[in-house]
Amino acid sequence: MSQPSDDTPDGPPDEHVLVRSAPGEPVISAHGIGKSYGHVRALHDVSLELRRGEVVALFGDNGAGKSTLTKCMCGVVTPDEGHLETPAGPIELHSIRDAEALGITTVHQDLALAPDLSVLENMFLGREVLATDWRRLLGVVSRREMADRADAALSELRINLPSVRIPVSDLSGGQKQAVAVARAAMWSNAGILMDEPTAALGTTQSDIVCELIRSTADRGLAVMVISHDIPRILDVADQVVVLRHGTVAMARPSSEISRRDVVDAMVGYHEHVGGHR
Amino acid sequence: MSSADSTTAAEQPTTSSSGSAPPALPARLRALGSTTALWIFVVDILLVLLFGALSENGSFLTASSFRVLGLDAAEALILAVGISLLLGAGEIDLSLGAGLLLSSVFGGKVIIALAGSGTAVAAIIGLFACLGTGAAIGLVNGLVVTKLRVTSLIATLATMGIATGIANIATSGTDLSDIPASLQDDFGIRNLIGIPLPAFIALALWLVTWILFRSTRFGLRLLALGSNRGAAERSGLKVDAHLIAAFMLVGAMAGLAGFIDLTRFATTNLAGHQNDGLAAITAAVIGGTSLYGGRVSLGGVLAGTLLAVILQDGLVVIGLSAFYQLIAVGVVLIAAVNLDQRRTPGGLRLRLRR
Amino acid sequence: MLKKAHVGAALAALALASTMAACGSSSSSSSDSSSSSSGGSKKLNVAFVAALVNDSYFVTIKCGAQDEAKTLGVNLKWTGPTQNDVAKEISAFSAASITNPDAMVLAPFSNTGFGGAVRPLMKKGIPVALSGETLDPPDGLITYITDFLSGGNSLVDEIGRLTGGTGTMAIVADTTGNKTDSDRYTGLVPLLKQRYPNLKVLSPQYSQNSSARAASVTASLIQANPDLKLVYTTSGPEAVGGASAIAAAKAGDRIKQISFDSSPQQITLLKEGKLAATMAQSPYLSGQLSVRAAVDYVRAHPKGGPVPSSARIANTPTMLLTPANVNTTEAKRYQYLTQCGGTQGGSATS
Ligand SMILES: Nc1ncnc2c1ncn2[C@@H]1O[C@H](COP(=O)(O)OP(=O)(O)OP(=O)(O)O)[C@@H](O)[C@H]1O
Ligand SMILES: [Mg+2]
Repeated sequence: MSQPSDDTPDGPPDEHVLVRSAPGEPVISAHGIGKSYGHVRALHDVSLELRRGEVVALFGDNGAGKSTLTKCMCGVVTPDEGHLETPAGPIELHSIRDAEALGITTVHQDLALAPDLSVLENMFLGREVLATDWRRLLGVVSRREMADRADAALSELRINLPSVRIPVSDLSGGQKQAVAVARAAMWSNAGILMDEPTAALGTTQSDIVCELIRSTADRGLAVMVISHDIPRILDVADQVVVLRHGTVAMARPSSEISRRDVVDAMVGYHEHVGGHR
Repeated sequence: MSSADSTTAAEQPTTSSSGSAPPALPARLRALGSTTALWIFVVDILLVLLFGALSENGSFLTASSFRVLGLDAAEALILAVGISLLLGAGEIDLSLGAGLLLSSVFGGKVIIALAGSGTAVAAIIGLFACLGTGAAIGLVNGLVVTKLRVTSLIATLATMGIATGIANIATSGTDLSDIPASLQDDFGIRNLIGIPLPAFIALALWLVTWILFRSTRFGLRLLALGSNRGAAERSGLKVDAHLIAAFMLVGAMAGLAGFIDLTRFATTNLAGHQNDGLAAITAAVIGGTSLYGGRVSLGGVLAGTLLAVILQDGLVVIGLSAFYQLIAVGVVLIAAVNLDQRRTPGGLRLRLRR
Repeated sequence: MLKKAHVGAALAALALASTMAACGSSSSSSSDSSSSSSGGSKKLNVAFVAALVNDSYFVTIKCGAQDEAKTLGVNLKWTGPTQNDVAKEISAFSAASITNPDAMVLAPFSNTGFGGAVRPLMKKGIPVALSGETLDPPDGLITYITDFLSGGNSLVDEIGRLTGGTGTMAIVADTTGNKTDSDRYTGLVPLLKQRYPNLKVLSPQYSQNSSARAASVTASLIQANPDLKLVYTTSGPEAVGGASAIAAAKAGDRIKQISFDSSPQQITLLKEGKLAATMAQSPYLSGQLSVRAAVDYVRAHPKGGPVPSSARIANTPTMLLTPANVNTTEAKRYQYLTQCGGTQGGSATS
């Protein structure tokens, strides 16, 4: 029974030793990032910083470069210009695994859940916990151990599910979103990047996800959220960055701006008319 | 920030904590012993009783009759178990019958060449030749699918032709003779505590595969690959390595079936395995395994294989003429699957959960 | 959407596969000699289309045909499907006919279905000789076919000897709609009923060329019929399956098996006593004679012109092989070959 070997660690970073200290400490920062796809300049000279306990909202019109920036920061895409930095110094990410090694996880726009697998299996996919006895040699997993840890991770985010053993396909859209966020939170001890986590969700479900975003940040993680749902995300965000044509059009604390400012920055209104109302 | 209780009951199930939720049928158990499998088992049992009643002196309900069923089901079950591995991972293998054939040809040639050094030695090395041939075909399938990016449907259709061609070339188009007949008595048609040895082996393999899907990381990851390939990739799974391993395992299983075929008949059967692969897929799918990946029902694989064998043998035992058999098989297939579809949605499942 | 595309691709692929399988195998042989008797300037090309290329009966036909082609100094192209399927053989025949052969030989899988393919060729002046099976309506230059009548009679005698004219007898045949196969039992059944009214003959069961299927059918028949005395299997794979089932049921003492054809496996079964008798045909001779007839016709009609259709039938001999006679020189000539170049050459008589 051959089984491809795997270099993934068996256990998660221990979520209870999670560094809650030093809120505001930077997790990862982008400096002068540029990325082109052929003739399309998706990003140009973009800089931004994610700090523990802070929610950074990333706004921008379609094609503004939001997803590209996320992909640069989680290792899916390598930038052409600029670099990433952690408190330990400059760093290059070559795969999603590299970002995860830094404790930075991603909630993908499509959630990346396997519908036929149970909640707990999804949460541990790629990092399954093996039995501790001889069965470990046969690659036998310890479902009980995983269920306990998944339960703990879910309840920490105040997510209620009937059971972690039901298949993801049986969950509602909001519950799936919650599972994806919980999974990212569980394996993250530094930051979470969320690409449109409220897209295609109803009002109530969006509220649940916003609640999760806030509670995740309150646990001491850095959060970056991409969304087109400006009012709702503005509510939970600490910092706002607006991208326009691949460059930063605005970067300010959320407390200083209104929804109108964001829209103006997105469409470039203030550049032509000058200032805001 | 609003608190968690701002959400409605509809969104967040009412139970206070997941620990006190009513015990759900564990997902894995549900996936492996699906209600479809249960229904097909019910149909199996009804058919056995029906054929028992219709056969002269109830000859279908005797130990020797069950031995016949077991022997007939062995090869089919091995292939169906094999295909369930790949169907679970969202792939398909049409080359199983050809893999069986080519394995039996190479294994047979090895056995003939080594017959001088004792039947036991020849048989054991022949077995490894069969397994190796099957695994090699699986390796080719896996490489073509993962590295050349040919969908498994086309890739295995192609290797099916290639393997059949090689088998015919290697034998100049005539089935092997000179396989020691003692292999038949010692293995292919041998009974162990009243159960045909090939049936024993097939059941053991079934059990191992059941555990593989139920409890192991490898099985879990195969299902993840079939359920959402992109998600599995982004979870850091080594997709290609897993797929190649799965193809090789399935190929080796076809090789095992080839060895059983070889020892059961003491020859090869060049023109007789065209439908084996499709029969295996049919058995698995009837039992509730998804053609599109992510869902495997090992219980269903067993039930579906038995359904085919019970029908095949039972209709002969009750003396139905061959032309009516074709009609009867068609009717039973539709009825069995329809019975499964028509059950009250969730009804049986709910009762099972209590 | 995706799933629909998937299924569509599946169907397309299967269609493609069956097209490819139609031209399953071909090989050619030619002689280097220039002993062409009619002094033709170019060597004649003969295309031979068999019903199944991976079967020792047809391998033996091929050997006879090749040896005869060598003797006559013509090129022989051998082709046919790797599966028993009339549609595949028809497309193999069409494919061979567009290579512009001077003459063709066809060993049809079925008596129907080839009319539309054979007749136009004959009109164009390309003779088509037949081996092993007549066409319906009669067509072709001449048909060489096994003498089923005399063969059938000796089978009936043997069945009577083995069963004593009582008990039950089962027939395990190959496929439905296969006249080459059904010829081996349809004529037999009325003869048996007439000679042995107390012998119960069960309706035929089919095995689709699969030994495993034949074994399962035989095992089930053993279950269902306590007074089963004889299993008649109509070709090699069926005989192999039947023997395995009888052995698994440990019923070799009370249940005998007889069969048709004399593949190497059947000869082995005969020698092991697992087969009481088998009816051997003369495929080597059939291959020789049909090639010779086609070539002779072309050489006799150098100007070409439409070939008249003929219902002419020439019988090729059979021999009932038993454990007692299997080692005789005569019996050896009736044993099918696994590869050409064996000892059967030269056994042809005109
Ligand atoms: N793989 C790619 N190949 C070529 N061009 C790309 C690729 N990915 C993105 N682009 C281009 O880069 C630009 C930025 O794309 P990006 O996906 O980052 O936008 P976005 O802000 O996420 O938009 P949306 O709100 O629609 O998701 C777009 O013009 C897009 O067409
Ligand atoms: Mg985007």
